[in-house]
Amino acid sequence: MDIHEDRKDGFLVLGLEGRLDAVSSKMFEEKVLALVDGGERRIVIDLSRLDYVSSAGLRVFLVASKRFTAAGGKVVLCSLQEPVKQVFDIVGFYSIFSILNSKDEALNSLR
Amino acid sequence: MTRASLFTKTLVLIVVLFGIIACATSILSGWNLYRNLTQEYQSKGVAIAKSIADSSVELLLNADVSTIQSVVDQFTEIKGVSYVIVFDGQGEAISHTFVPTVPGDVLELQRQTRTHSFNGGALTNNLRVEGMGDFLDISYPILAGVAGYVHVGMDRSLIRSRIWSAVADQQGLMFVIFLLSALAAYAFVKRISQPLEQLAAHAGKLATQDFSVPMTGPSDIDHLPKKSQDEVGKLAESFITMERALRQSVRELKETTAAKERIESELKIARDIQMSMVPKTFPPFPNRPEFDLYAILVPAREVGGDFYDFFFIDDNHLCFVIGDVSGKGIPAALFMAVTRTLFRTTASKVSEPDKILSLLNLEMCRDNDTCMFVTVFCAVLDIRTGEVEYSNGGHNLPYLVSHCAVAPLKNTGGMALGFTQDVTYRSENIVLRAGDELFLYTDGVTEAMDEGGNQFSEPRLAEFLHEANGSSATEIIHGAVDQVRRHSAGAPQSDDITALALKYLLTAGATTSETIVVELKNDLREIERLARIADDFGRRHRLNAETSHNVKVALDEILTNVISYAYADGGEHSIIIRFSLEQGRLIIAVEDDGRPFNPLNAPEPDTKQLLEERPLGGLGIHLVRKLIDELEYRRQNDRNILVMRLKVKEA
Repeated sequence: MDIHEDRKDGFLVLGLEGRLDAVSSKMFEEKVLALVDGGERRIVIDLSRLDYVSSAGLRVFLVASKRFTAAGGKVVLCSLQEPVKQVFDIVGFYSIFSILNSKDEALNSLR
Repeated sequence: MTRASLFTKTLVLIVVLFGIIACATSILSGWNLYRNLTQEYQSKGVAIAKSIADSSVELLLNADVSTIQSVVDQFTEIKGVSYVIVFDGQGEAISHTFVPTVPGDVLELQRQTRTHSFNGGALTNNLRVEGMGDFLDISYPILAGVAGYVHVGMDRSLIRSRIWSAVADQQGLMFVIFLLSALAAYAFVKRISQPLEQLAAHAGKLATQDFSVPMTGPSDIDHLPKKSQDEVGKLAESFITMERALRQSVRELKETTAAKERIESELKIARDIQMSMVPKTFPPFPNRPEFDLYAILVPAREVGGDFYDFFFIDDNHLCFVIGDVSGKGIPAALFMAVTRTLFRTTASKVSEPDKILSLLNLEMCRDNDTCMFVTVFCAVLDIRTGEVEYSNGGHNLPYLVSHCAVAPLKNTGGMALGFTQDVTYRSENIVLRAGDELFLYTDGVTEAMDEGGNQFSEPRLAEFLHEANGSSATEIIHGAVDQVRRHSAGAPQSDDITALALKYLLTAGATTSETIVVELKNDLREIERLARIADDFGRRHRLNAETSHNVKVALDEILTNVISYAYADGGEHSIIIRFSLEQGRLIIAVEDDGRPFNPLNAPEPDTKQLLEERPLGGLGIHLVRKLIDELEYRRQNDRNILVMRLKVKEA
């Protein structure tokens, strides 16, 4: 999996590309923790190029959301592909995450 | 230009030199003349004055003025004598030659010189008389001044005019010499500069000349070395030598370039011809869904000695072959062309790989004066059953890539073709199962070196093939070439890189029931490979994308659990996964030798909980339960066996 970093309107946008599984989730978790420790508070995670997610990846989304919320920040997810949507749906993530259809909507929701 | 410049310089030099010489000699001789003339005048004046003084003593004493006047007048006849005047003892002018009166300047001089002590000699003074000119005044006492004084005036303007006329004569002579010298210089300069000018003109023409054509007739400077035996001649000689050498090297360069261009263009054509000898249209048989085939040939030079080929012998038998001719470049390419042509001819006569190789070897050994040889691997696939009969002639053994293992095929023991006719080639048989791949390659793949001289090597290739398991033939080939290129990054390609991948997709008529077995190591990275195999299985059986995805997620969760928690020893274990398709149901069994663990006993997470209350774990098994229709766990022979069943939805 590749992680792309991009700053838009002052907010950090993390773009995930490829497979988020037990191997790649470690890298993703380190990235997220480094960001919150580095003082980042409001971020968008763009999943438009994420083809696949397993429970190891879901766990990192939980960690991320908890840590950012505890620090007074917020994580917004956007642009989920169908297989990822299905997995999110099964584990009930739609009720606990801010999930929007597009990056623009996600950025707007942070303003 | 050269002459004008050279001559001007010489002329200026001559003018300056002559100017200096003329001035110096004129001043010197003028001054000498002046000195001599003055002395001469002086002594003349003194003699006259003395003679008058001597002859006047008596006359003065007798006061015979008229006689004195006549004596005085006589002396004025002598050239250079301007005046003569005689004073008496009281300083009165008794007789003189002035008309009408004695000028004041002369009287004044007389008054001044009266007190002078003559000591028996004469006194000479320069005297200027207004209106009369410059004189050399010589006074002489009569009886030591008692009887008076005689003054004789010598005309100095005569001295000047004589000096001027002498200088003028000398200058005239110098001018004549100068003119002669200038003429001589002109002639000399012209003699030097004419060959120089010819050389310059010749050099000017050289720039526009075509050196590639031979000289037409003698050069216009050929005569110069003989004509001028000096430095100019030497220069001309070097010029001629240089021009000859220039023509020679230009001609040689042109010939070399032309030859090189011809060879390059021929090589390019040869490359096109060679590349057209191996099939390059992929997929080669679009209406044969039973297999997927892809191949590539990357010559190290313009042309190479590797080849591959594939063709149907009959409706159900696909023959495929890969070969590598010893050596490189044009000889190898020619031999490759011969081999490939003979191979096709041979395969049209016999259809068993061992017989093909035996016949081909006989042909290759015949008249093989160059002692070249070729390694060949040849195989025939029955596309209905997946059976492959193959025979090897000294070539690298292809890899069989199955879901369980990557291993080279068993050798058949034959040696390279073209050495000797006394070789028997034998065949071996294997059966490809759906999803199995054969990877044929030449040593250009495994022996590709990096800059440090390290080969890509068989273990690296096997590792790549293991990781690429499940990929299509095209992906495998491009992946392998990429790996080799990455390995040898920067280092020049030393050998042709050729590879052919054949993936057997489907046993004809077996679309509804098929079992594949995959063996995984307990390494999380293996899960991605398994996902590819699952995708591949799904594509082959036309399962819809959702089913494939569900299977992948479920397998991922189960295997992540097993790999992460089932083994306490940290050693290597294998996990067996069986995919089977039975009457519209997909059954997947995961079998491991880890500690007993029934994942189905895990508690259901509460997916309604708020974020803060949510535990981080427990989602994996939940996903499996939701995605798979039926789950069953059993412990059997010290092994955990988890069976997943789901209804197949076709795409």
